[in-house]
Amino acid sequence: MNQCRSMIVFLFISLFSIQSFAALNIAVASNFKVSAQNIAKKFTHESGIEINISSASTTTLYQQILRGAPFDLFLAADKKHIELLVEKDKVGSQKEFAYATGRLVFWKPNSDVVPTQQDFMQYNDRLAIANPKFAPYGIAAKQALEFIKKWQSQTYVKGNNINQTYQFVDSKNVQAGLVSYASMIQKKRTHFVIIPQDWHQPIQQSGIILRGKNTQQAILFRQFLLSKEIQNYIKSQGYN
Amino acid sequence: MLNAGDYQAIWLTLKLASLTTVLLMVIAPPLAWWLARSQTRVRPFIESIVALPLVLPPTVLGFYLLIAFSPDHFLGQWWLSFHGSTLAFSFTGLLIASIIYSLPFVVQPLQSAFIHLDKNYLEVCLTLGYGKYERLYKIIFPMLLPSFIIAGALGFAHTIGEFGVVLMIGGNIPGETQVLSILLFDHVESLEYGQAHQLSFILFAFSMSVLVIIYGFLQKRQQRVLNA
Repeated sequence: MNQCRSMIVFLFISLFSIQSFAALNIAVASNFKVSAQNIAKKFTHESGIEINISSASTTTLYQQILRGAPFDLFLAADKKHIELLVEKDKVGSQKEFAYATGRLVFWKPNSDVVPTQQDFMQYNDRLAIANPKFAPYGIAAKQALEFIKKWQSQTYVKGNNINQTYQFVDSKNVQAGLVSYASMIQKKRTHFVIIPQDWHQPIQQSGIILRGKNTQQAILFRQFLLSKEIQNYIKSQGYN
Repeated sequence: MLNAGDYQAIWLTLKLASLTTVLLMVIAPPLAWWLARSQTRVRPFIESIVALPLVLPPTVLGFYLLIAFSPDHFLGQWWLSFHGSTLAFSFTGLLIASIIYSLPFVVQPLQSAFIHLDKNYLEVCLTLGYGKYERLYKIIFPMLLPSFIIAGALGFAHTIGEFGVVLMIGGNIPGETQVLSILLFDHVESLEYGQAHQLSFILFAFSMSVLVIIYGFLQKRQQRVLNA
């Protein structure tokens, strides 16, 4: 009997200790996943705080958070969904912060030469873009195409997010696409041209600390993410 | 209420499911017959390939198809040389994917019906001097009609519910590859919950009706057989 009781006490204690050493849960928009993993590795190395990264499209993560997904921090691919979370009072007293600005590129891997802006303007085959209804890079792609008055005349294949758009072009099922600069750097691609920043609204990627169990650790991670060293690293990964 | 895009997706989904079912009803019966009767050593191998879509995540099928459809590979190259456009992101591409994806749902009910078909009936056919086709139309088909109906209905319903494969090789093109399940996902991702609710309910009501009809039919037939 006594043994049984101490067993139960032991189990409870171990459960609570798991709780208190729980890792920091971060929800990351899929386009930033690889960079976030590298940053998390450095952070864990320096602070000893473990990090779990969950990645999906910004909207999917947003909807999971609305319904109580246990994330401590949310790194979105845009500003809109962070503002929506603030509006719906899901974040407590924390303020949003910008951690990266995405860049759009025109990528045409099978051409002999590196494409120019002119090539992009003259391209009239099917173009892969992220879904302009909800994907941040898709919204920017639509704005850029509207800016050069090509939106109506072009035909599109729409990826569910920017990574799928990359995959459509990479598998050669589409000849060219508007993808992220970060994916070009990550995969060491060369046949692309950067879309000028004034052709579309900036793809400002924002984040926010959520009402989680690990607010203190989340604040430490935010400080680390916004530190000069890490911001320089993010820039080197294809963000402005 | 529903807008033009929603109606277009409903029509496209019905078109895809109907065409898939018709083609499967041509492909599946001979295949099921062979699987039910053949004694060759390759049978378990073929049987497994047919059953694979039941077990594999649709993403695996979608990923392989995306690779197969690309101009780098035989199938995609061959198609491109004939039609001047790629198989991926086209209705034909979806049709091919749906046939593979729904194949086990049509083959398996037929195969089990063929296995359980009493040998005596086939011998009667012989004594009556029926040829191969007469045997099929006069004995096998009328006797196993319920199995054919169930196989067709399952294939149709399963194609309506297809999502993962289409998400990977569809490219979300309205009127071409944007089927109901994809449009629904699109609405949810765009936070358009009203439209998402409507489409979800349509899919739910449709699937429920199909299943009730199938099981109702089975029950009636069972009663008839028991009372006979």
